[in-house]
Amino acid sequence: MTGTTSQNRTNTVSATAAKSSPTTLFGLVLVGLLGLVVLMMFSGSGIAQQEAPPVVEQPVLVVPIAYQTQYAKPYRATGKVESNQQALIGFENGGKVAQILVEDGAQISAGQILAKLDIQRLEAQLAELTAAQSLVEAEVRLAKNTKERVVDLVSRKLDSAQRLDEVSENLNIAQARLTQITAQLNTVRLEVKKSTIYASTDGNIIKRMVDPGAVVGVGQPIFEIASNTELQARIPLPPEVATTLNQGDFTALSVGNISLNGQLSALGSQRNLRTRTLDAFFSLPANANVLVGDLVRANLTVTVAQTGAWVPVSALANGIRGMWTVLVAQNTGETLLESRTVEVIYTDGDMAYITGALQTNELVVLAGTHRFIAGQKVTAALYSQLP
Amino acid sequence: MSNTDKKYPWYTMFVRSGHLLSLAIIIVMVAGLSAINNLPRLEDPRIDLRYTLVLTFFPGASAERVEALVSDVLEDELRELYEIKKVESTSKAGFSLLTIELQDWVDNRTNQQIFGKIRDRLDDAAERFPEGAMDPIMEDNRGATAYTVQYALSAKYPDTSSVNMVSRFAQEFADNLRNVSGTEVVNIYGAPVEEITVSIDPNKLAVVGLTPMDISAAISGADPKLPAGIVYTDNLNLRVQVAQELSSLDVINNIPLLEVNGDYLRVADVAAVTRGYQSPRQTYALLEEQDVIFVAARMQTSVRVDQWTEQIKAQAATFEQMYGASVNVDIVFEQNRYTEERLSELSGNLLLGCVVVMLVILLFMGYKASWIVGLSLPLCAFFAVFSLGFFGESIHQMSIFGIIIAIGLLIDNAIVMTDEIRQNLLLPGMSRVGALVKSVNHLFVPLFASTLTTILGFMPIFLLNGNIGDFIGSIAISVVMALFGSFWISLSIIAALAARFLPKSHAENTPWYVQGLQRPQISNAFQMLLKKGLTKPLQILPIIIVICIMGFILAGNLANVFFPSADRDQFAIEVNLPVGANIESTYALTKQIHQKIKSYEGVEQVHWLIGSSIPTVYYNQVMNRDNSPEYANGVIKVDTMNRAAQLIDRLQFDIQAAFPQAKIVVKAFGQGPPIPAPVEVDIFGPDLVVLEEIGRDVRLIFSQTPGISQSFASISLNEPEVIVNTSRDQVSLSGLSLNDLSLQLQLALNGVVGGSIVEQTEEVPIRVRISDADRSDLTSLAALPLASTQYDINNPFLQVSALGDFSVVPSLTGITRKNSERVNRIQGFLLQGVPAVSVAQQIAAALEDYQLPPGYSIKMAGDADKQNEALGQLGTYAPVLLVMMITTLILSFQSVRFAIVIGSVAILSVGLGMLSLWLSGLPIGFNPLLGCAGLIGVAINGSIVVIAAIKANPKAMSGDTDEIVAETMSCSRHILSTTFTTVGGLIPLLLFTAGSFWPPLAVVLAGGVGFSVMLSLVYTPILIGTLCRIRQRKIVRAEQKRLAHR
Repeated sequence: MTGTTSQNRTNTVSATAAKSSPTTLFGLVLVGLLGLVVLMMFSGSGIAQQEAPPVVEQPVLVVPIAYQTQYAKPYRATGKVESNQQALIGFENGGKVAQILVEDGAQISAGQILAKLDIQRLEAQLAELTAAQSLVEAEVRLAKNTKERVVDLVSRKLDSAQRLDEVSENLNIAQARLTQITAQLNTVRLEVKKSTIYASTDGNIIKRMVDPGAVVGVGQPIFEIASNTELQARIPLPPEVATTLNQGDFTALSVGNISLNGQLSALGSQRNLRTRTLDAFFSLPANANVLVGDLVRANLTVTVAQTGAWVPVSALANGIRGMWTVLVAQNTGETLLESRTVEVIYTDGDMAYITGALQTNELVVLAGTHRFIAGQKVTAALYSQLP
Repeated sequence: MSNTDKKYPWYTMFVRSGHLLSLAIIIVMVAGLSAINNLPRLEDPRIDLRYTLVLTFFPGASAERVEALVSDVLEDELRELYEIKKVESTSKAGFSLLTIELQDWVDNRTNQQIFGKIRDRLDDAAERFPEGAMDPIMEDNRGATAYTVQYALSAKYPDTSSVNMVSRFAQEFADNLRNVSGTEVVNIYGAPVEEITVSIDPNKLAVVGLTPMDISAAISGADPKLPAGIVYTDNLNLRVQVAQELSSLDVINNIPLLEVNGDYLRVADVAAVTRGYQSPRQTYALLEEQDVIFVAARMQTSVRVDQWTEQIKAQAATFEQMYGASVNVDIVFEQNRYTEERLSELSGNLLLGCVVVMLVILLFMGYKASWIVGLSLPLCAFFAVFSLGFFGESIHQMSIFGIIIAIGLLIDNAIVMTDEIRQNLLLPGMSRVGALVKSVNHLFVPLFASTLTTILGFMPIFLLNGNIGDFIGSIAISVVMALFGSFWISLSIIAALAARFLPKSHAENTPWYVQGLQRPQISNAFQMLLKKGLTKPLQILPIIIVICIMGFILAGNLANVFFPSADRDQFAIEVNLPVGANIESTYALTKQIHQKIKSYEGVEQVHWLIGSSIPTVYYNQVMNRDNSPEYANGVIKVDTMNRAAQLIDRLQFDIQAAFPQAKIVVKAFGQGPPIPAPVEVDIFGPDLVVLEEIGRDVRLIFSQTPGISQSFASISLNEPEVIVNTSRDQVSLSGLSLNDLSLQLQLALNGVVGGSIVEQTEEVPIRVRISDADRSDLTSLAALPLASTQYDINNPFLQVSALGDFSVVPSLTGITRKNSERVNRIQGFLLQGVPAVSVAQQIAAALEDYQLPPGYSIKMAGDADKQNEALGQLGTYAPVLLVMMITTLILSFQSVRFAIVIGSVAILSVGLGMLSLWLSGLPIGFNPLLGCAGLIGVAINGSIVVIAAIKANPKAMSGDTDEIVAETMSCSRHILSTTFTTVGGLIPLLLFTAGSFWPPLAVVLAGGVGFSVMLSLVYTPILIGTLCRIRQRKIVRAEQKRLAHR
């Protein structure tokens, strides 16, 4: 590139005349450098060197706890509605059933005829005895007439005293026979009466067990009737719950959607081996629109005397060896969290009744314990103060 | 141009044949344009699938049993496969999840085979499972890739339409989308599992002495789905079917259970039969306030995202036409929008770069040179894009990223060649062809050396494998092909154009736009100064060296954000209630949080998935939460990227303060490999209780470290478990065994499935369980009647409370293992903009004094780990490549000294790049590192050209100051052009691009190139001159000695 060089050489000679050139050069270079520096400093939307990021202090809500001396535990039990008077009734005799006058589910009133046995045999006996009665009545009349005649004869000394005694006793015999027959007749009539079943109380026929024409034995149940005037609920309860109830107390019961007030009338005295419960009987109000056999639910509350405090389950955090802990803030504002071990006496899934290393009015972390560790610095605020 | 019998070298054919020249240009342009049209287009490179998940259900087992009997067995079987890099497992109550990561060298050609092997091993392992454990399910399509498009379907009349209807519509829609060509996979999220529920009143059941199992058996028995056989008559084969299948709810209601005296007890008497879904639901999906079902589709890698999205939208429009009266179809997310934005932004930058190049060259070399050089940029870019196809790459932000890095390098070759030819043409007596030959001869070796050195500098990235390699390998491919293209295009097409069209001589008053600006005063002044400097090297050189070294020192104070943020207008939010919370409470909380988020200005859309991870919208999101009713995940879209940056921290604080019952994490999307959390500490050891305690201590340290917003532990004991306190004696009095008791409770609470109803293509199972009212709290559980062998009609109610009371104890949430060792993973999330690596270093420092019990160890994971992995992989080949680079330089210049000078220029230019980074205050990371590689290429190019010029001049080689100065001057014009074009072309990225992805890169490139002008024009000539003079003196002295000894 010798050509260029010589050209430049000639230019150098003339350049000495332009003395201002170094400053122009310096000026240009300086401008260029500064421009570059400024460009660099303004790049990236001015993301300057960041100040050290802060230590994030988590906000936390706390609530003061209050100890109580007892707590209420709900207990739900289910039982059945029964009738106070529910019985299986039948004939006192055996025989063939002639008539059944009511069907299943029929309403009955006290004294109503329900069923009749076949009384043909009894009627035959009745006819037999009635005929016998007529016979004996005739004998009594004869004896009476005979006695009157003989008394007349004896008074006119026409007959012996012996004859008088004979006819008197004959009259007695005939009268005694009449009494006997009458009594036999009454017996058969009683049997006829007992071949009918009468309703003993108002109520319903639960079940008719026998059809007309069947031959039944003594005491075989024909009907199951239940009184609908007095219903009761039999609810099995564990003894520890049952003993908290007093006789005569009213309890809220529910059958389906209907709510009732039942009054405790009796408690069973023997514990059922399988279900470990006692039966509690609640008498239901008379106009309750329930059926025998309906399922009745009782929502009872059992008060247990034990000191503790209620906290929401979300305030519990895990501890070692299966124990629970809660986190406690020493004060509101900036504070450190402490971990205290507690024991859960009872929980229903949403709230827990606890006792443990806590004092009344200490501030317990309400929720979100999975965010925190004991010893962490937080900003605590009272729950009610939430904006 | 006379074409006599002179023998021209072959590379002059472009200048001799105009046809060849124009054809070459046209071919390159057409190739590039067709590549742009046909190459698949995505937002991010597709990472080859190296992950797979194995899910195993073991209902009823505790976490410890799942770990010992399922997870351990699976891990043992898989341990023997050498293709597996890492197995992580999580064992929760009833559920085991294994994540298998394959080795880095596995890619899409070999992974299916390996998955097949794994499946075989899983089957082997399943034989050793205990009774009750189900077969393992392998899910291998949850790759590290985002869904390309997401739709939300919802009922138009939500009060009267059931969610089951929407679910069936969603399935139909998903099938439609699968039919679009180019669809890889379509998944549905947030849909309920349809079932017919038979809700029993347990007390009614107890009265009659039945169990839920009996009812289920009765229903299955009444479902005659088995074929009853065929009757073969003489003419026909008649199929026999017993009665009708279960076809409606009425039929189920009438199924008889008991018969007494001709009276039937039917299902309807003891239970309510409803059509619904499995309750509680596994997932809920929300879009704004509405319950929806998400349908997410992913595109194959061989298609263009814009075309595919058009087809999908057309399909959705057809669907809406047919069913739009009953169901709403809304698009929630489309990747195409972001791809278009990204690509148009980048092409805009390329275009601007072109314009700047042409302007600068106009100033320096005249208008003809300006359009010649201006043409080189699109030509090289087209060549690079075209060659992507040969490597199986697609057009995505990484490949375009590569081209942008290479801009400075591309035009450098062209400028150098053009300037050289321009100067040669001005020599008197030089023909055009002759100028071309001279220039090519002179510049071939230097340009080759510089190009090869730069290519070798990018080779470590090219050779990376694994997830990182898949992701950034395409950058290296783009750069390397762009450089390669630029090399041969400059030597052939550009040189030919320059030789043909540049002016051969200048008249005295040629205007500036023909020959470029001439300011003799400045050049003369510079010449003088340079001459002075050559004589006093020890004054100038140290100053320059000190400035460069300062850059390194100052950069040590910069923050380290290795993986830059993604600069997106979306970010994610995670809501964690304590483990054990049910999905209904999470749902209610999420709706409240949603309302609060919407109250902020700039929030456009929020969509949620409750119960598991939301379908991904960004490539490195991890979908790692399944079966988590206490978890909700949302994606918030705001109007601008800056708004996102503002809101992320604000939302983190505000929402956490407003909803203290949940752990809230608001996080931005960042680049880099998919990791669950930026900061992670892994504690290894045998005992769960001790691990949990150490984990708590580490979490305390996390809470005291600045910048950490939340921390999570993977092994914790916070889940409440109800224990029925009873004994064998107590239960046997009631005629039960403990196993019976658990079985009955399970059947009552979870239910048992038996029988099904078939409706066209849907088969709906029938589940028998107790009604929700009876299983909703502990009091109801206590009142639940049980069935036993001793059925007593007078006292049928055997309640659970009769057998024992309840206590609630904390239990294990899950056991995590890594490579069969129990590990407690403590994960921390950061405030926005806080560099993960710095925080990790702080935590590591705090942990140094922590005493671990024997048998336990701590390891850092997260970003810091990934950074080390990345740097380690990059450094694997570094020594070899370094040696190759030095060898290239030495061979090109036949001189070790010159090679060392160039090496020193490279190192010093990096120092200048670091200085610029320090000036801008931006953090160091992966992008600046890449920028340095590009910077080195440009810087040494300048020095190489100066050295080549000096070498060609024997007088300069002998140390003649004037000659050295002259040679330097001859290179000054194009060095300055390169500098100005590089800096100018990067100005949009420097000043007008928001975010933290592009600016650090642009700063290093622009600043480094800008400041390294002084390296090329001052440092190199002075140093070379000094070396030459020293050598000359040695030669002279040796000569003198020789003469003296004669």
